[in-house]
Amino acid sequence: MKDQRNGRLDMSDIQGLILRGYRMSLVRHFVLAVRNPAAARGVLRELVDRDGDGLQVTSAALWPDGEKPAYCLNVGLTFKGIERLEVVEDPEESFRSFTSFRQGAVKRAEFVGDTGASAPEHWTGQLASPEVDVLVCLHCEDSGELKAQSDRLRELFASRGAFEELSSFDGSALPDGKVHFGYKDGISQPTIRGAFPRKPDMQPEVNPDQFLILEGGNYNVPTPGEIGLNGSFAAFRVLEQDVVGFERFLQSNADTIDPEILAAKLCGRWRDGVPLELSPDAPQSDPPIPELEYSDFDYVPTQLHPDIYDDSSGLRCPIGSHTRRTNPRSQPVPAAGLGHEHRIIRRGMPYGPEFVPGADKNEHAERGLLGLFICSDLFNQFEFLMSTWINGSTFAADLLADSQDPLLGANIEDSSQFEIPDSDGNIVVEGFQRFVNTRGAAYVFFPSVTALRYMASVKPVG
Amino acid sequence: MIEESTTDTPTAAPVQSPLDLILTLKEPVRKSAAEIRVLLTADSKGGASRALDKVGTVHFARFFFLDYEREQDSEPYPTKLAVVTAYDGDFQAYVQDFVNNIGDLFDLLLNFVEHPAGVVPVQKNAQAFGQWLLVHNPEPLLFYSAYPTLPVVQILRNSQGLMQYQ
Repeated sequence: MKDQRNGRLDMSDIQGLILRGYRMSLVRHFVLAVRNPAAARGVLRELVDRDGDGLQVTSAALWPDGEKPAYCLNVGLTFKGIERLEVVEDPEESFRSFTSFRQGAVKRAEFVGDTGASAPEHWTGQLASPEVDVLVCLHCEDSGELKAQSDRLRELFASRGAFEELSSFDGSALPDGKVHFGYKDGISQPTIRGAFPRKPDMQPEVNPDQFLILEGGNYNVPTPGEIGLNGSFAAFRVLEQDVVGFERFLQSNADTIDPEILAAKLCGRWRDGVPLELSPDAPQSDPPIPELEYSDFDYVPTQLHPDIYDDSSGLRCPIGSHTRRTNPRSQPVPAAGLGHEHRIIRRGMPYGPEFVPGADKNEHAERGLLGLFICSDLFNQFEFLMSTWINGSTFAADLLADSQDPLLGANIEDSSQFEIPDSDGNIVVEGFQRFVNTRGAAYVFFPSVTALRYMASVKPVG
Repeated sequence: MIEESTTDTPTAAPVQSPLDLILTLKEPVRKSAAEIRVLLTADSKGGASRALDKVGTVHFARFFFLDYEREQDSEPYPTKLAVVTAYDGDFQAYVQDFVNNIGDLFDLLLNFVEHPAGVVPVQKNAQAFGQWLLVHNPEPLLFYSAYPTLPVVQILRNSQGLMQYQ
């Protein structure tokens, strides 16, 4: 592990999906239980054995000549998994700063709004089971590769009884980078100081210690340092989307508001990704906004950008819209200031067949998103977003009391409301159900390559 | 427990909560009192007030001494520090933001008051620090607010709006 003191990130030690979107077409997430700790540690060693010819964990190092590899592989451990692998003497003490991670997604479900139909008793893939220990993420470009690498992985998992596969989840990209609900996704991510440059977005660079476990972060690094440093945490979530219900809702308000305008107001972006702040009246302006600039906006003027439009009133982008709630940028909210510390890295892949309104024969197919929400502090980043900004209404002025994120919130048909400020009189749409339900979740730690090697070395491997 | 004022809208839930602490000064108590006085009243760059502005969920905060001891031939000196506040939303949810802004001040303060191990430095131990505060936060017999459904952000926004008409 390279010296951190000069502020440079050791890309070859950090698992790739923390800092890079692979932009591959397919993913398979394997959910595993440790059955033989010694054998399991042996599997971990093989996955970072650069001299071997087996599958290897993908780091954040740039690909030679920028050419995509055949597959990308990453490994996450739940807290129970770390305990079962017997790689840390006192896991509770070692991970004492990471309370939510230690408790696990099932215990934290209520706090993040996974209630009702989203509660753990309805989860699939045994994700509510206390035996969820390891998450293996396999990204590929084509199905032949996915099958071939899956077969190899499964052989490895079974070797010497190391793991039992509890379930797997498959995702596949939709055309044009869209997700179900028809929006282009993955436009905005935090720009991390010392990591890869990103498109302009009028936001300050984020301290890398908010996305990587580093010395100097707002936590005690898990001990020993070999285990903790250069790692990160993620909420893995299987999110079912009520695509039919969503389209019906858009159409049902057509007398009051054009469905595409409503779709844009709910999200904060038109379905093609153009933000309302830059193009309030139509999905594209003339001349068109280049895709590179789709995140180059703010909601209120700042010292750095004093001349932009002041959308304090939400006339362009409603204050309660999804993207504004999950990232208020320079809008005054508690604890903001020069950029808030509740950013999140999002990696997502749709699952289920594409839905084409009016043409679809498989309306009732299950559709959704396999998401990884990555940060160093699950409580202050992922869980904060869910509980305070998505499912709360007191963090910003002029939000309807008890209103929640229209796309992602735990909305109840009887009481849900969404306000669209308008110069001719505000529009309130109501009576919408919860459009996204959680079908499973897990909190995982993505250890560094050093950590995986270390874990394989602390005790005999099988 | 939270009394609703007559101006309350029936559908909105109260958003304000009290956080009250009685902290015991460390030995030597007279010295601790003197140091705390300097910390809270010194007009350094931003001070406690500006830090609290930045947090944005605190309606008010009062720090004052309690439980003075009287000894012969000397000035009475306090043995406890009281902190009385009202804040919006979920306390634990904002505790990291709170310590990011005011953590340095609390670290200094904690040098002079009794506190458990594992909370200092507060920025690295925000949740443990928050848990400690909550455990010591007594349930009030009465918590009255004239506008229990209004968070600080809304009050500030409303007053901005009013200023336009002046």
